[in-house]
Amino acid sequence: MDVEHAADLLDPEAIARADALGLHARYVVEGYMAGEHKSPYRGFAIEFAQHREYSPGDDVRHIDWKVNARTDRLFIKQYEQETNYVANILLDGSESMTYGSGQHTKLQYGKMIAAVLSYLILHQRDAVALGVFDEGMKDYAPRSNNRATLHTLMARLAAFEGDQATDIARNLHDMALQTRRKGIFVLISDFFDDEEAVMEGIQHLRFGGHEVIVFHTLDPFELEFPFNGLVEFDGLEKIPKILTRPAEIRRTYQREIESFQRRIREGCEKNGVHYVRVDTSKPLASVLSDYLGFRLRTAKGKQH
Amino acid sequence: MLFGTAAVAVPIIIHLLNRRKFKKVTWAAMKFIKLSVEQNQRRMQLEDLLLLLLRCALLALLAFALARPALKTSGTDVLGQAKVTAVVVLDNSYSMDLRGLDKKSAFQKARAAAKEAINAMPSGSYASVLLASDLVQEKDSIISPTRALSQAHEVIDRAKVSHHATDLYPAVDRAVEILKGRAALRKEIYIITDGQASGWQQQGEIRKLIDENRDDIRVYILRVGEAKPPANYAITGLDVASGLTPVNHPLRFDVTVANHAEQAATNMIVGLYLDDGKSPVDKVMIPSVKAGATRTVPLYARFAKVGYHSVRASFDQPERFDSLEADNQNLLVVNAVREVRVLLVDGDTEARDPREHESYFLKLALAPVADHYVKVDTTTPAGFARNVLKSYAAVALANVERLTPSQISALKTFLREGGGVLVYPGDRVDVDFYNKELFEKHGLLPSPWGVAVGDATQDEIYTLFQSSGYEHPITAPWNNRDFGQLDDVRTFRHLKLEKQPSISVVKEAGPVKVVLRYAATRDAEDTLGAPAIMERDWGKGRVFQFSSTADTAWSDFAVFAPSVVPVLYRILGNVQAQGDTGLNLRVGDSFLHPLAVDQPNQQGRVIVPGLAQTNRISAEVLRDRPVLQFKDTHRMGLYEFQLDGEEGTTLFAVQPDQRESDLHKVNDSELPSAATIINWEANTDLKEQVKKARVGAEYWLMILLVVLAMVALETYLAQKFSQSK
Repeated sequence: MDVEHAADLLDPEAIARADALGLHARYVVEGYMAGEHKSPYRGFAIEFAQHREYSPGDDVRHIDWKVNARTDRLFIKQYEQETNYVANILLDGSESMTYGSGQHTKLQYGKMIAAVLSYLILHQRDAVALGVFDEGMKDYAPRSNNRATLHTLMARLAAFEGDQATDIARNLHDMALQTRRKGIFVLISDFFDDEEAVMEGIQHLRFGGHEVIVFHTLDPFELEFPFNGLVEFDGLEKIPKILTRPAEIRRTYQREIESFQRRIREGCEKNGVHYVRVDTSKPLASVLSDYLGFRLRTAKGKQH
Repeated sequence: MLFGTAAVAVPIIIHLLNRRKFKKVTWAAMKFIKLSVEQNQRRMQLEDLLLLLLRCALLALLAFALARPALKTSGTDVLGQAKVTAVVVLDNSYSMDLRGLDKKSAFQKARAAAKEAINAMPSGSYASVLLASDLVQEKDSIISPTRALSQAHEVIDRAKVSHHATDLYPAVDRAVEILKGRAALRKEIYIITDGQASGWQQQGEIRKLIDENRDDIRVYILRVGEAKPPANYAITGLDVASGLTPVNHPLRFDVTVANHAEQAATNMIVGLYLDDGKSPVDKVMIPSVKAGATRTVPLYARFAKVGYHSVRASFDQPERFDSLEADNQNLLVVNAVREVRVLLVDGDTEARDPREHESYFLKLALAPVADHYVKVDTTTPAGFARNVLKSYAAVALANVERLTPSQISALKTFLREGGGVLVYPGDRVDVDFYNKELFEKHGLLPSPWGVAVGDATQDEIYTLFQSSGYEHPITAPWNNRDFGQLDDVRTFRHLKLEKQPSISVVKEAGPVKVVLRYAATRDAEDTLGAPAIMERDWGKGRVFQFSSTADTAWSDFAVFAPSVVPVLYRILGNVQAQGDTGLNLRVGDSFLHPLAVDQPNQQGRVIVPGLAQTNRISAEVLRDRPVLQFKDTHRMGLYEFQLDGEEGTTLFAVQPDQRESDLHKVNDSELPSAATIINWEANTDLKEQVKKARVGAEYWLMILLVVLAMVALETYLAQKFSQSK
């Protein structure tokens, strides 16, 4: 069952849509958990665990000896004390995200990512804050660790429709200034914006001590550019139209989009940000489980 | 070409139209398209421009190729494109049958020359073959040029000498017309002929034709056969002097012999043969005929049976004289009758002395003795009626004032059945009645009677008959002075006959001809004199209208026995044979058998001499009258005609044109100067001679190949340009 399908069944209210979204999120998460019998909840709990370098006065019991064995340095495992982390999920709701060549638009796909993550986090009793932005923050649900808020979150997500231009950097700066408590920022966007400014925004968050995860969401058509003949491209976000024969520029386009992704990825890596490329044609479950699996694996031996 | 070039606009229009036909896609990643377009802009524009130019050039070249561009000055065969379209005019007049010293006929050589002309053409050329004499024998020719040159060879192989005379103008005219309709660069005409002078009688016209087209069409005249004409003697005339042909009476036939040689001919023996007879019924030796002269000699024969007979005058041992067979004999078909009955309707019988009667001299002229084969009865206008007419061959109305409606009806019935009517004027005749009733209403008279010319009361001022230029078959023998003369008959008064009367609305009334004319007056604009006797076919019969009296009141024709007797006899003979012109034709003339109006579906058949084949002919309408027509008279000889449902056969003779007997050759200097004259012999290298003149080349195939290459390039580039970049 997918989102649209579910939405059709529960029709047509926003609540129903939210239910569908929630249902889908649960479906994805439980599917994921079914695959990961061992410590199914642990994904984000471990993600939340922090290693802090040992400083005199710390409890030596908390020293992670395995790390010490590999690195000769002393790290303190802090998860037991600091489990209540806040996950700030930021979804780009600009007009460019409304593009979709297949079943879902990027926005719909992004909503699903947000929904699934919210569901997962709330079920770990951690707190989630959810914001949908374009030029400014359009819809912000303050942090909450109450599972009952899940439905509200879903409803807000489902109700949102993007029709504005985007300004990712501004939103990131705002968030960095507003959020004092260290947490995790999940940023879901196509990043069709000023790349440098976006990177500065991400850096700003990182400087604030937040962990940042980027879901770079792109449509397969945006990657492959499979059009033929004479085509007029009508730009979303009020970009002027362009008439061209796509076949004749396909290679250049693919090269450009490739290097765009690379720049974003490298920028992320440089700033210690997890970069996840999301192809909206791929099943959401596999995208998330791949990432969560990756997180689990790296977290086990991760050193910060 | 210009219209074709307009096609260049097509790709531009398609390009512009295409720009209005595109898919619309709403798109987010505009930045990258913009970047890619900016990077590829120049290249794409260049590619577009290149393709557009290529397509425009392609269409322009295609239009150019379709216009078949050619370079006249080029001497080289570009891609073998300098093909020829040629018309071979093969003279098959009967003089071509003349054999030379090598025993080969000129026509055999002409055929060889024609084949060589075709062999000398580059492959892919087109050829027509016209068998030409005084007409183009279309049935045996290739009119529309063909690429299948072997077909041209076959036509040449099959070609036979005809019995037509030569007049090359119609064939050359046709050849030029054929070539004018062709788009070929190299056009050639080969006239293959023995060079007989009569073939070039319209040489002025032929020269004009060749000169007018000299830039476009090259003309070769291939002369074949003997350079110098051999001696040729011909029998050019055969006629019954008496006109009428009764059985069991000695009949005089005038035979005319022509000597076309350069020396006098001596001791020529001419024989007269009847029907299928192998031995002559009469013979005459002509001691001498001067070079270029003709001689007419009388020969006598007698028919034993009533009906159609053929008479043949022929040289004794013709092979002794010359090798051109066709003119060594002459044929005549006549209809022999037992007696000829004539009824004279006399409108002036009041005088006591019969010599004063209107018909007295007429009767005397027709039946000079009591027991004559022409039987004449005389009656008054009141005394003739339908049943009386039936037994007569002809009726003469002499000075009859007017006719009753029943008499007119009787005359019409009589004419429908093939009778002859002679109408004479006189002082009693009601001219208005004749003009209104007989001319206008019933179409019986060839002409209305006009004003009276001259005064019969004096004998100082008179008109004579024409002295030459007799055009009607009845009077044609007088063209030969040996036959006698008509021009000493004096006519003091006559009623004017119209030279060209209007065509009658009456269906049964046939065309009008002038039999005899008065001498042309000096001040007259027209060189032809006024008609003295005219005739018209009516039904199956014929009406003769005289302009002067039957007696001596207005003219002394009636008492001028040497003139009046043969004229009347020939008129009666003409009526009798249903027009002897119909039985004695020239090669190519149509045989016509008139049918009654109530026989529109009648059929008949004709047996062609020498071919033993029967041709069926069906009725057709000619000048509003039903006739049976047979056109295929291209061979000389005796033809048999039979009407379906009738037992007896009619004969008719077809004679070649006498002009062809004169074998004199035309000089090269008299031939059109624009033409290349080649005296063709078996060892002539024709190809070498014509090749020099074959300049000019066509480039359309080469351009077409370039166009094809461009199409391939365009496809490749369009494919390449549209590949992902």
